[in-house]
Amino acid sequence: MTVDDRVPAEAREIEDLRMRLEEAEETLRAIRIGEADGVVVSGPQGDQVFLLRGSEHPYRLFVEEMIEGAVTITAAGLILLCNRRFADLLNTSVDAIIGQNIDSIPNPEVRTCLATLLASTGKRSDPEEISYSADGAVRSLKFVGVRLVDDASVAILVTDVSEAHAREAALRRSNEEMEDRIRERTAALASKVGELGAARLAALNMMEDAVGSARALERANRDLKLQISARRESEKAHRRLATVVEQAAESIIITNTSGVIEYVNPAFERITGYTHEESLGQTPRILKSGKQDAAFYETLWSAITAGSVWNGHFVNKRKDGSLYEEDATISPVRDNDGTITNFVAIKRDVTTEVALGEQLRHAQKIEAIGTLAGGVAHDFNNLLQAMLTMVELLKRKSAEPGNLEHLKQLEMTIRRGSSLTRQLLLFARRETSRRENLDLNQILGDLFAFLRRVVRENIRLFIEPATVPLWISADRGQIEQVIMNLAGNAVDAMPEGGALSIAAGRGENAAWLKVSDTGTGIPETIRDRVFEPFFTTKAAGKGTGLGLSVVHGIIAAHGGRIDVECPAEGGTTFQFELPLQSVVAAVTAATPPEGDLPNGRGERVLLVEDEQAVREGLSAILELLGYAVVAVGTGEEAIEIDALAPFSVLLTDFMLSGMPGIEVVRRLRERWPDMKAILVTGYAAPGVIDAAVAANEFEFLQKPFDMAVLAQTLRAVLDPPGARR
Amino acid sequence: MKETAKAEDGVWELRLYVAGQTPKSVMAFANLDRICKEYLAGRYRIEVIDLTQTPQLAVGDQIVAIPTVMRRLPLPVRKIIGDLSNTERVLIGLDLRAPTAQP
Repeated sequence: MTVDDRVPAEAREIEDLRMRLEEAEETLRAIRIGEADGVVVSGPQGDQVFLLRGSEHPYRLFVEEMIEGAVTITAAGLILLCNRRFADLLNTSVDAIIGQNIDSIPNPEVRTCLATLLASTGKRSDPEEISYSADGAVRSLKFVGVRLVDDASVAILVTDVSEAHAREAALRRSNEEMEDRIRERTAALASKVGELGAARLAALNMMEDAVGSARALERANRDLKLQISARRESEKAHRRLATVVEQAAESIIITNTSGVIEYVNPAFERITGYTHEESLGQTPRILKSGKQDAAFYETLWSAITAGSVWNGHFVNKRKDGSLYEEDATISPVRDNDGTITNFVAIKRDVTTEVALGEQLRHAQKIEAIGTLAGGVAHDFNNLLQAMLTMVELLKRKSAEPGNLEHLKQLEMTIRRGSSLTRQLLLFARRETSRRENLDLNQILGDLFAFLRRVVRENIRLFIEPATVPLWISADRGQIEQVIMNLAGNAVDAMPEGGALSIAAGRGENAAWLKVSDTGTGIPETIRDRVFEPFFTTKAAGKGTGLGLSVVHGIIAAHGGRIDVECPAEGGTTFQFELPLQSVVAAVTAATPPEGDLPNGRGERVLLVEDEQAVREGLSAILELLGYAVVAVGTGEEAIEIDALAPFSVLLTDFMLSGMPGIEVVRRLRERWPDMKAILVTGYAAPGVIDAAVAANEFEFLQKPFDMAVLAQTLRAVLDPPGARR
Repeated sequence: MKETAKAEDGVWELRLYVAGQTPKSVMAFANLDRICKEYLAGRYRIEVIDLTQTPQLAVGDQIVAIPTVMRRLPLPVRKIIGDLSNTERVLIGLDLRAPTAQP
């Protein structure tokens, strides 16, 4: 094998490759400059053809839908494009026309007209109009041609003016008829006058006759003119009525006495999707949705056939199968003898109004819940506060480990009760929100012990906090609520057991947290609705339908977002994101370990609380913490108090019977300006507390609170930040 | 034997690949028909293949863009993409110049 032998083979191969390269370049060039309007793409499903749609695509859709005929013809007479209307006007199909030469159009008038427009020079041709007989009627078409910019083709618009012409002709005929009659009468009378004049011109009384006749002629002429103008007026009125019916927003249907549709207006076409042509000859049953029963239609029919007007509401079906709601009035139409000749239905599409009404009812429902929750919250939280305080005291005093466990259970239950009120208030947006800088990891860590207790034994719990701090600006209680609600749902989704994983992490400018379960997942059909209030899949009495709606509300209020996913392998994952805070202040740990509470140093505390159980419990705890306590039941008692030494702290309920808490603070500060104040409340409308705290440097405690929180809050007001250890 | 006969007859076999009645496809057919009538009168056959109906037919002839006309006979195979409105380019691309120039 020598070099020379190989050369021709290689040369052939190179030549072959060169050809293929040229072919590829040619293909690219053709696609780039728009010479190709389709490409073939190989894929897993085999070869597929894709049409390249240019920017002209929307115009083509528009042209397709026009009520004018449209056709594009090359200089050589080749029909490049036409719309359905054009084909209809020629009584043929689009496929049969495209690709043909205009010479092959059977109708000679159309053919000639197209040829004329094609031959005419200039950007825009003068309109050409042709008339010819088709199906026993005269059809008139108006053609206008526009020369396309970059090639020699011509785009032609065709308008069917047959009806307009027919109307004009009828009007003209009727006017001519009238004028003919005037002329006849005028001539008749004139000749009569002439006769009279010739025969008896001399006779005076006859002269008077003639004058009378001339007057009669004038009168007759005037009468005829009045008749004509009345007729014109009535035509105008008819046209106006027709325009109103055509342009009304209500859909109007006229049927004969057996219900066969004889007329529908454009609003009907727009609302139902059925065209005029599709509706005529049908009955309104084409709209039947099945939402009304047979009895409904029977009542309707017996009413209108008996000659009464029927008013009512339909849920009907559009041509595309979607439903809509309408208010309808159906009346019989009678002729001069009183016989019913037709029925006319006037219907208003009220789909939007019905939907708005639903929303309004829903909003009112939420409003009612909010009011109810607000009303109950105060008393309920007072009860919980009394219980919680007693439990704390019992925990201190009981050394028996078994009892301690029971007390802890009791404490948990009380907290759950508190969470329930909070949930309702949050849902009705009546909860005061207090933002601080928090580490999402830490919230998760603090919740861990609690979660361990609420998760059933047949569920494994996995917690994966992020490796970096996740600083967010948030209301701790609300974020805890979100995690608890999601975890609770996850547990409920796994009645047979499974795994619950909660992971947190850091994305771009956002902290995320995922709660995943291995339960049954959420069917795709209802996935969009899970965040809707009162939507629940749980049995009646098992779920309020509020949990996820509250979650959604809280996350949205914090500027975050939440998504739900159900992977193919099963289970459900809820993931929320909250914006990360860039600058973060140092934050103290949430709860110090029990038994290590900051104690009082004998400071004097004045307690004002109208609930006896709460008052006694709090007094005991304050003493236990090392404070000297004076407790009273009303604000009036508090300001009357006979004490020489000032109080360091006033701890007062916000909503006292009688003088309100804020007033008590104001009055006592006149006496002891340096006295600190802590307001305690079961519930107060948002805004009231915030304003008070901001204006007067109060501390604020939400009932029910535990001993640790009370101890820390007291130290926080008593030891100013600079003076702390 | 048949193939040879065809070659001797000098019958040209052309295939036009189109995708339905797009303007370029319609144009391409009209132009091809006109050019063939003029330069190959009685010696050609045009087969139109609509790839929206039979996309699998694109594979054998490696068609990627539409419209494409392919000269199958005489060999070698040649292809031109576009609406074929530039007659000059079509004549060169299909190698149709030579025969008319010879006699």
